[in-house]
Amino acid sequence: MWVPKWQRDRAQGVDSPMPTQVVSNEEFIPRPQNAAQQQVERLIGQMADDNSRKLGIDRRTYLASSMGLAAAFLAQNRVYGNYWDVAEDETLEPKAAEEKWPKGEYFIIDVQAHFTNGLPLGIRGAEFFRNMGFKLKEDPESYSFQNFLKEMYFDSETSMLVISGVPGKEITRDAAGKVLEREARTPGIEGKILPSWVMAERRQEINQLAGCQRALAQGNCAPNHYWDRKNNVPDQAALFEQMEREVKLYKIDSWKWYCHTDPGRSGNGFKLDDEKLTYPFYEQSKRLGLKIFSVHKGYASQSRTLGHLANPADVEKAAKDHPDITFIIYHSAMKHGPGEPQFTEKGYFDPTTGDFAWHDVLMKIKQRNPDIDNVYCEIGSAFGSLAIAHPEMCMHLIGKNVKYYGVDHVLWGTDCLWWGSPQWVIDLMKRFQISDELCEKFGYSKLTKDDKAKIFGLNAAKIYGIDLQAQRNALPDDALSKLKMTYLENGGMRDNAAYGWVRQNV
Amino acid sequence: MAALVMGVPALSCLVWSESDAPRRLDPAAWGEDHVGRPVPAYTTGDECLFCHRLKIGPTWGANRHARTIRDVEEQSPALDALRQSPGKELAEEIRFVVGGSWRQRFLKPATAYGKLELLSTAWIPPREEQPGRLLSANRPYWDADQFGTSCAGCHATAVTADEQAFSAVSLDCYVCHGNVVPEHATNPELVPLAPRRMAEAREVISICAQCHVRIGKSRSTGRPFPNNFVAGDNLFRDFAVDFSDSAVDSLSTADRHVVENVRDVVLFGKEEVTCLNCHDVHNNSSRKHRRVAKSGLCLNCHHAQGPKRTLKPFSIHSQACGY
Repeated sequence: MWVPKWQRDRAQGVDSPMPTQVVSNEEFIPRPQNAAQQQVERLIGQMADDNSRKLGIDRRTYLASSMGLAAAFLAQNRVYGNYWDVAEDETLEPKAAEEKWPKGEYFIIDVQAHFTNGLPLGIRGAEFFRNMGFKLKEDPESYSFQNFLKEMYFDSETSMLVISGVPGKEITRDAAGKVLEREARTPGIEGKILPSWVMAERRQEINQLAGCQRALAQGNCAPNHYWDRKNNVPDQAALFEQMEREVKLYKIDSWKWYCHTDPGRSGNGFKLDDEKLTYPFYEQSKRLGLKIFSVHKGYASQSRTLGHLANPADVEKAAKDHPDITFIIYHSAMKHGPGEPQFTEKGYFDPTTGDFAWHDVLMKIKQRNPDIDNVYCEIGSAFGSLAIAHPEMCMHLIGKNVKYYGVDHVLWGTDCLWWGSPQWVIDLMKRFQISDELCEKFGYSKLTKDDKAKIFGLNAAKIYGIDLQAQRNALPDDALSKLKMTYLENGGMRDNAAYGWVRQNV
Repeated sequence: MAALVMGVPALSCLVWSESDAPRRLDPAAWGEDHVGRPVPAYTTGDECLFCHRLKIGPTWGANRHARTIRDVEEQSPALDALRQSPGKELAEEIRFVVGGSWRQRFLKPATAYGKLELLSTAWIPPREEQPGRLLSANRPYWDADQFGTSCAGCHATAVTADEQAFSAVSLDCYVCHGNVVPEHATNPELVPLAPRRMAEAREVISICAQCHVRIGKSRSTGRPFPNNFVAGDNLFRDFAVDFSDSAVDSLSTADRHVVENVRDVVLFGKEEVTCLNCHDVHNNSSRKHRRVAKSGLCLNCHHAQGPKRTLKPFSIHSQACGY
């Protein structure tokens, strides 16, 4: 018999801030918890019982605290090996964790943050994220702008963020040639996700609410979005009109491209190094004064037939031909995430080299071209999911990014709020370290606090021209910080509830 | 024995010779069509997969519906054979393949929007003891028209009636799910073929039959595929099918079981069985065949007695497609 995970947890007294088993999202029969997962869960439960009793607090409050999270990391270490930097005293003394991992230690700029314009996506149901200990609801509200503010700014240490685009285009004019505005530009589904005009407006709202700059926004326009079907060529007039609108009117801070999608029904995607199709876009963008291009690479399953265009091989020529353009390669080009069946297929990850599909393509580009300095590796979704599902691959991801591109070319992104509040990913990075063994074998470097500071925000600040000193002065007193303080003082905290299905008897 | 013909015009040409003929319906008597209207500005599959990435994305690339046109494999025996044939220069231009184990054809993008050119040479893959071989290999040429007039409707997405130009290769979500409205996220029953829609059998059958009934013809275009069919439409308002026993009996087993099922639904009003009873499209699976009943439809392949896994000899070849 299957029961909701929260119900089973309640019956068994389990309340875990970390995954302790795979939870079904109703698309597959829940798999039984394996021995190691049972052990982790038991250890977390034991520590929660013992420690909450010692501290004189209730169990739930303990597990929602930094001590509870530390207990979960410690339990993982005891079962799987020492992957996480966590000390025993962090599970008992609130100040131990706070001193070791002080809130606000890092200036965090999340360059990959999303919400929707009222559409429930249903993707918060990824099996291993559903049990992360956060309230991963699936209703429209859980993907809304209001929840975005709460989960990104109140429930996490994120200082600034980039509202990051999704596939979709705007219709520029109606049949009579009249320029359309707002909702009329995106009447279809893309209007319900995250069109450029919504990103721009919401960025403005956040910054006005805060009283300082807390958000940046991307624009979705791409080379194949407007197509002249009669002549089977790009409709450059419409394309340039939209580009100008996004840069000048929306004041976007970067483009966000999905080479493997075709919302303009051009009949194909596009490549970054296509001189005929893509280079005119670069040139026009330069003329408009925008030289930051954020490009989704990897996660190839997100396209029906054009997934091969999510391969980062085209970064090489484009980056060499346009040294004045900054290319931010999202997801570090990881081809498949741990939630996909291909992830476990033979050959996807080679433990002898640490290579895995399409991340290796991105790494080899830099190995072949050490002089390339305008390509950055963003780690959204890739880091968090690998840290939980495959810590060894996670070490290779970060180890190689830093080894080949340099620690000043790795950018923090989370893909939240698809996965709830990003605090769990932030905690993962704070405690993350590459093992001695892998450092020795593959020539990786241990990450220092300075390195993490660069990854968390300093690198993005440099790219986006953010005055860090001014931001550090402004943020603590801005309206968002005050609202967050009120939220926390009123007992706002994480809820370790999961809504998937598990076997009742395990 | 019943003699049943549905041709052009379809509405009044059902002829039964027996007085006890089963209840018969007019297949064209319900619903709408999009003949003469522009192809809708539908939501593309890549946009669909942004949300449906977890359930559909990882497996869809390998689904047959996503591979009705697929990239040619550089190391394929077919391409190797072409490279050693009079068509060796044309072989280098090949970008796509259509077809399967019976016969394969080769394609290249045309300069015009939504067009592919079809190579006159075909490949017969190895079969049992027979090695693979080329057909019509002596004077190969690129045919600029045949794909559009004969193949596009079922191998590509959103084909225009006037120019037979498609908007995407292979079958996009739109082909089976139609022009999905944003509200479907909270009301999935708005989407054709969504499990919660509880659609009538005739709607389901119309969607599958648009391609899997390979003996039909559009009345408005004369092409062997529908004219601007949008999931949710009544296919049979414009798509004429000969449902006569003689026509059905002449088909391969695979085609016959499709047409019989369609006939059962649209002519005889039998709504118990549709394609979805046995075929799990997204999972590329016919696992539901385990539930196979002993109806006449199922007995095309299965024996009335004995284990269901023991099948009668069957074929899937169709003259309409050449494979």
